[in-house]
Amino acid sequence: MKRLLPRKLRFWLWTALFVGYSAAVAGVVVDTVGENYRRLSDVARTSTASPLEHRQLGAAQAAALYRAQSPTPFLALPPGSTFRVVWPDGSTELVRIVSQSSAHGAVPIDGSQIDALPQPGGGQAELQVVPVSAAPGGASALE
Amino acid sequence: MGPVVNVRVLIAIVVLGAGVAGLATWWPSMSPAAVPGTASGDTTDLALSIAGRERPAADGPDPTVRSRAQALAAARPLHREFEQAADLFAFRQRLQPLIAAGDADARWLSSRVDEYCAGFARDPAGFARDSALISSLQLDAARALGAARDRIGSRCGRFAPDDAPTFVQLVEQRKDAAEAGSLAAEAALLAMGAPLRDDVNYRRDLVGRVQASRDPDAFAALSPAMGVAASGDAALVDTVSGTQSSELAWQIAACDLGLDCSADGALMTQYCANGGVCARDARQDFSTFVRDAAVPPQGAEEIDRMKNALVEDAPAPPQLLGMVTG
Repeated sequence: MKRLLPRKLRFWLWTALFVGYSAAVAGVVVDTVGENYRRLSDVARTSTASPLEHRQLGAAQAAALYRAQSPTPFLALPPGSTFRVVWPDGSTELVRIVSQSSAHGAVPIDGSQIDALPQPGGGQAELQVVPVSAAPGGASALE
Repeated sequence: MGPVVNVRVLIAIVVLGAGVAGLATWWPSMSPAAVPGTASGDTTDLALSIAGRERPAADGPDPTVRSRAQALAAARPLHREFEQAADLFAFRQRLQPLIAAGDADARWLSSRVDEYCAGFARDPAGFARDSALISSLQLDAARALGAARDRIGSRCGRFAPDDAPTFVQLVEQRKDAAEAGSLAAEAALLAMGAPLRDDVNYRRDLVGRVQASRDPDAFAALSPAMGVAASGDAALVDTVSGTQSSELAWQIAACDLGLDCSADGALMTQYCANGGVCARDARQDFSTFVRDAAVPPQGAEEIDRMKNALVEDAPAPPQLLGMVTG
């Protein structure tokens, strides 16, 4: 029993540690005004099924709003970085930043698209901008 | 004794973890966008300089460079009009006879107008709704972002959805301008991923021609291609290229050469309205904004070294030397 108790305690403590760490990470990557992203005009009707240009414009607009919240906007989603955008219908794709000053400054990455899962409420998916990684080398906007 | 010590260590770790979680969740200054550069494993060497906020804008262009820039700006009335015209629709109409006559600068500037106004022209009502939404969010950049969007809305107010170019149309416009002789348009095509030619010698030659031209529009147009997009490009290995700092150096060099880098200029307006990168201080020009918000002091020195290499080491074109010395 003396041995069991520390093991149980250890289990729950590690669980609590994991949850605490996850919460810390989630606090970094989950955007607090994500609800507003899908109200942006270039985002509202965009999904992975939309034409490439719409997705470029929508992703760049979402990235701009993301940077506008930052005290260090040059460092937020800089050129070369990638992020995952979840469109209002729940479909998702990776996007690479190629410019911080162009309306076409975000380019979807081929092959990263994931269709929306069925949503009970329809269109209730929250748009998130989740930084994933920085990728050296810009992508052609015509890819 | 051993298990008891382990439990204490674990408790300490959990308390620390919970503390970090609480800070990340609730501390206002740890807004999500404050971290992605590091959270995402970004390799850029840029960081916020708190000390830099107090520095005066003493790192501006030297008097010689400034006089050259002023001379060049005075010699570019169309470019000045693009930056200052209250009605860009009327300005674009005034460009049409020049475009028809094959004027390369007019074609380039027409594409600049279309690019500048595209966000408004695509959907004027949606643009207004977005502006209202953004102003309701009380963002750090709300005032500057609102001002930039208002400026675009005001200057582009007569544009309609039919006037908005697609990305492909913008590329076509710039191909026309480049083939007519606009170096800025040729540079922009490289930055847009659609160069006139795509080989090592061409890219190296184009960068050399832009630097030798001392054309501020060409410097600014080329700059995105000289940032991280150029990382690993063997053609550009001995040039100022490959990092976000080098992209900024090309842009600051453009400012020194006469580009309108004021708070109301197209460069800062597009950074802010299109990219959400807005100066909190409305009096800052682009050079000051970069030094204040993008780089620590040593990073600013590095950008200055790169900018000097671009501006001061390049030969001045004969016609500009004549204007300055004559």
